[in-house]
Amino acid sequence: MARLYPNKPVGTISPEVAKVLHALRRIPGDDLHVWLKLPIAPEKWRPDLMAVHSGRSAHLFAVSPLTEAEVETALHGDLFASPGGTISAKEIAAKERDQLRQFRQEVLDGVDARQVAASLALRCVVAFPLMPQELLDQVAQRMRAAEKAGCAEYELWGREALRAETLASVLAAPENGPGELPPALLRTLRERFNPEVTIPPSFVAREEKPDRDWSARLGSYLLDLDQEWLAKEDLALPVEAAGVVGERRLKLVTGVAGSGKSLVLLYRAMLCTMLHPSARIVILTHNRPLTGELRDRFNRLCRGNRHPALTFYQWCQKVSGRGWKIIEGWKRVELVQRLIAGSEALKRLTIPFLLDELDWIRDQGFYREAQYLAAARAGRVRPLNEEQRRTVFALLRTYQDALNRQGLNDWPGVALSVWRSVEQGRVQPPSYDLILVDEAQFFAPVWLRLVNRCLAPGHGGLFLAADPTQGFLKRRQSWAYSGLEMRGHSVRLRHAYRNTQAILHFAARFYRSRLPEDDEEINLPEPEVLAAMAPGESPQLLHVDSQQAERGRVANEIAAAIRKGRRPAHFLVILPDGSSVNEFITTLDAVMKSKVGRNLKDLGDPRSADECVGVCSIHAVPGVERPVVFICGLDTIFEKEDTLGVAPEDRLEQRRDNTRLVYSALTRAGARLVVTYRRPAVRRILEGAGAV
Amino acid sequence: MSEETLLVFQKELAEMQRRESEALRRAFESLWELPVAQRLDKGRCIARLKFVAREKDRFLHFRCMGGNSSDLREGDLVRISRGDPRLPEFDGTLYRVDDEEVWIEPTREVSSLLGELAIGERALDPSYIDLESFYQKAIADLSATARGRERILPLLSGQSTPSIDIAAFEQAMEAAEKEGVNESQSEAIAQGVATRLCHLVQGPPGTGKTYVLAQIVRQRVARGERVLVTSLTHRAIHNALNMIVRVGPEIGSVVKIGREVHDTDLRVPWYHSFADSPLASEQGGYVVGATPFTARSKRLKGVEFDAVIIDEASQVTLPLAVMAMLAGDAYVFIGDHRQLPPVTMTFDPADAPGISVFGRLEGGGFRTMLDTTYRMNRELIRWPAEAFYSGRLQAAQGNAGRRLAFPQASPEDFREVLAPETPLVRVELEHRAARRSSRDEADVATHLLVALKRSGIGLSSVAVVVPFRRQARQIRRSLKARTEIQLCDLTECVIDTVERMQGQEREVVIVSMTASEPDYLRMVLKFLLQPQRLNVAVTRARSKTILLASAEIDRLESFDPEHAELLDLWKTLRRECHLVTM
Repeated sequence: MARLYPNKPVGTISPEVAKVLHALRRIPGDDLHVWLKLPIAPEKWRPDLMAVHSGRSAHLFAVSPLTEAEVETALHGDLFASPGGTISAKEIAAKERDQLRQFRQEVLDGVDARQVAASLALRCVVAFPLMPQELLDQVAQRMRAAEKAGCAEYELWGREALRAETLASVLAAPENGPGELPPALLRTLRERFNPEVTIPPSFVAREEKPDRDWSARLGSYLLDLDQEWLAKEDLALPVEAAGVVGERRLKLVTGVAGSGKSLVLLYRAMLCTMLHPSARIVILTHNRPLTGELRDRFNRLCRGNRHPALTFYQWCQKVSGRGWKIIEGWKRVELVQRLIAGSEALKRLTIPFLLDELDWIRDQGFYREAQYLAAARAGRVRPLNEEQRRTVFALLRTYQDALNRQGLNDWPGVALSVWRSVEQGRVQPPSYDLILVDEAQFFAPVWLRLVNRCLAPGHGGLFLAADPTQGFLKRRQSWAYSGLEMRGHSVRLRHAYRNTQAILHFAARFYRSRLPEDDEEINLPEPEVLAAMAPGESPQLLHVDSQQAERGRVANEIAAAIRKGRRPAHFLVILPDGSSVNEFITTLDAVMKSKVGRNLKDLGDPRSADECVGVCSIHAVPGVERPVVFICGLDTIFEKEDTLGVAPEDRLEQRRDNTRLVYSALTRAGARLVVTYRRPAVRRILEGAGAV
Repeated sequence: MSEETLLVFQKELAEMQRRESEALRRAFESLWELPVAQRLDKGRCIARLKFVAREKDRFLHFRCMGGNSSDLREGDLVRISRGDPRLPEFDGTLYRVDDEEVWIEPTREVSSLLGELAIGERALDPSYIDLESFYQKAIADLSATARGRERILPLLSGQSTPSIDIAAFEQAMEAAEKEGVNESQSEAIAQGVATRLCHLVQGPPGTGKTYVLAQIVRQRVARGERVLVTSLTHRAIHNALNMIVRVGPEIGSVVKIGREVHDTDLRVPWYHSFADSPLASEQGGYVVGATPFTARSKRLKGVEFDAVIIDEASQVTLPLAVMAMLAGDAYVFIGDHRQLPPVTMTFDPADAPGISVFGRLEGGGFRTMLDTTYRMNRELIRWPAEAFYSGRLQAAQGNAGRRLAFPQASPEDFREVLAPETPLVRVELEHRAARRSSRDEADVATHLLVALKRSGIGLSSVAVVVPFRRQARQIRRSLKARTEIQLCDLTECVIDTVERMQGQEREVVIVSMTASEPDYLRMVLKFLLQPQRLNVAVTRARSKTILLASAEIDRLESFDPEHAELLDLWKTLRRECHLVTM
């Protein structure tokens, strides 16, 4: 079957176009791709359909609604002209023919003039699904006589030619194309036919190589075919058809790092917003930097529309109509320390483990001891017997009481309380036509249950983009556990665009050396995809002797590059924690003598992302990418793994978390990666020596 | 190196700190629970304060409508309330205080409170900051950071021994000798410069330890190192920084990082944070002065040093030292475990020296004692040298024969007490009912001060050392009543506890032992005769130390071996003194 973009027509199409589309769709094989134009206010005329056979040719279709009777009258009219009532033969589909000719010329102008093959491969068809071919042949004859030149640029296809079998043989016929469609032609065609899949260059993390050819040939980046298909799949929201109860629509997009999962999600959100201005749509993420990136990009793609991106907790606030006072991280540690002071059993467990377990319990949606006792605790490294679980649950109760007394809450507590309010009917949740979740691997089960509950009954769509490799927060959970049956609804993007081979090899070697047993989780592209990627420069490891030297060195490197003309937005600096982010920004601003560093977590920053060097903590990097990435302070991350007195299971857990965290950071770089380190041990870890 | 040993040590340290913080918290809570009358009686409160005005945008000026007979003094952390300190309006530092007025520098912005403050009266009580979480975080970092695990924990738990860089040692020795320092100083400087991990410099009174510190810093910076200079108090840090720029004027980059500095004596620039300072872009060596807390705060977060120099290290507790040590790789501790120990709530005074970082490490063998004092004369050094320094401390040639010289006529009163030829004098009094203040001793001290002034010795060259703040107040009052004494004399003359005098010297020092009531003496004996306090008290003078004490102390007997030991020490001091009975 031919692949359709979008897979189902959106809005209304004429019955004649539907007829042609139906025939095209039935053509067997994987080589035919058919585009249908979207009803997004077009600036220029576009053909009704575009069919591309990857090995052969491209056909542009203008579909005419003329009937047999009308044409016969026209042919007759030449003999017995009756003013006003009929059309002449040369007028038949004249407008379509003209526009097709012009469109074709514009496409060919956009392709490199030296590619003669392009002109051979690009065909124009005026399709008359309501007319017999025989009659059309007569028309064609007359037209040829009348027009002399120009007729070669289009063909007139009638009912017989538009049958699936005929179309299949014609579109795939060897004589109908040069053997391979010139890539530039396909690109230009897609860009002209589908301007909505164009990617602004500022979204792209890879770097163009400088070259000497200065002729104007800068094309835009486009979504690849898989990305476009996913972005456009099932775009029709049955919101207009009130009362129609269909199937809840789920989609999960996974894929290697840099395969464009966020991009697909963003374009989907953009298309839905444009196609269904009254639909309720929201994009959810787990952190602020990613939300900021998505908002920024959405605003560029879809000017004039209000961005729909929120962090999960911002959304919770919206859902429940209230805010919370959140306990600070260090106070939380202090509180738990105080609460366990009297318990010998709890003192045997570490504070980080206990905090993690308290979070985990609430993340699962448990609020009764029995639920916790019955839980499988899948993926939790440290086993807890029933007695221990009872003690931990008692701790959770006293912890929650202590918070309540101070009028405070913590984040997992917020998610659980919103979920319970919704579940018990105390809060009437909003109903969304479409919810898109980026980096969904960070969403805890209770978060996903809440999201699921907020989909419009019957037709609400849920679109998830996720990379299991980076799921260091809510690890090893299944979608089914969160109430989502994803079998048959997930798609994996295979191509990687962001990184170079060198960067991916480096990151993969690091990951494998640290977690050899988790090799399959690395989620690397297939060998042939990897081989096709740009080789790129090897990541650089810079040895410095102190934290201040790390900041100073990186700030100086970035400042020098910007002074040489690089755009600040090309750079991303990743640091171990939030306070080092501010320290680095201060250093960079001082070196640059202007405010150029931007904390990506700060969603209120009025400056354009283009003018700023992005700076964020390593915990906030998923979803963020830049051509040049500096990572500082990994010493601080790795040295914690050797903390004395930590149980082996906790140590292993930390090692897993850190490995995913650092792997994710390494793969943020599109072209160039620089990592600074202070202790030689860190270099050895990065270069694949595992633990030290 | 056993991980178990390291963990046991870390756990003990955490527990010790927890107990200390808990004791401090309880002490304040029980003080705050008392009614005003009892707090006043204990000298721990000033009641009936009337707000006057905010001055210089910083200080809140109050008048004491009922006078001030408290022990509170400048620098104390206090809180203002409507009478119940458990419900404070704000906390602040006591900037200036006398019998009628106080000036407070609030720790937070209080503009919104000013209108309210003008109504009614307030009470002022001592306050504290709960720093337990900072301490515990630092202690936890001992095992969670590479530096803590590999350097600090093994060092503090006696599992590792420092080594030195021989070439650096030779070079530093040569450079020190060129400066004309004495042998023990050049040894200390070279060790302090060349150690790869840790060295202790023991500096008995007047032996030039701050100078040695400055030379160590100077040579380390010359090698391009970044050095943190820290101590218990801002004053000690300022002294050290001033000395560093004096001996090493070529060092361009010396700064103080911390809260706003009001000390006009500080000779180096001050910044709120490292990022604000020019050092943020400095790639060569530099010196940062900051308290251990600042080293852990965001002012200095993400800044590492090649060496951490801790001055007055015998007063710095282990947890406090750890805070500073986590910022660097090599440590030089300068102090003297024979002088004042850390202030502690939970330790017996006899055990207190052991909880300082200096006391913890001093037996490890990597210690150099400075053996020549440039302060006291031969007679004044004799008793401390024998009692505390195994006879190894000597007076330098220039000061060995120094005598008190009167610019004007020799005094007519107290001639025997003030005679220049008897540098160490004991004035024995017969009062027997004094506790925290003694009028008899206050009178004698006042007479002596007046006599010294008449003979041309300015009171800035004299200090009176007392064990209790109440006695200081008593002496100041009595002095104020004398027509010969002007206001400037009162501000110039230090009359205070021995803590205030650590690191300082005067031409003449009067030590008033104050207490005489036998039962009370027994109760406070461990404090009053604490060897380290006695050592500091009698070693502040360049030419003359006058010890005022009741004979009741000498008559005291005890079966408690610890008491007996202290009394024996006291007797050895008495034997060294020229005795004058009154």
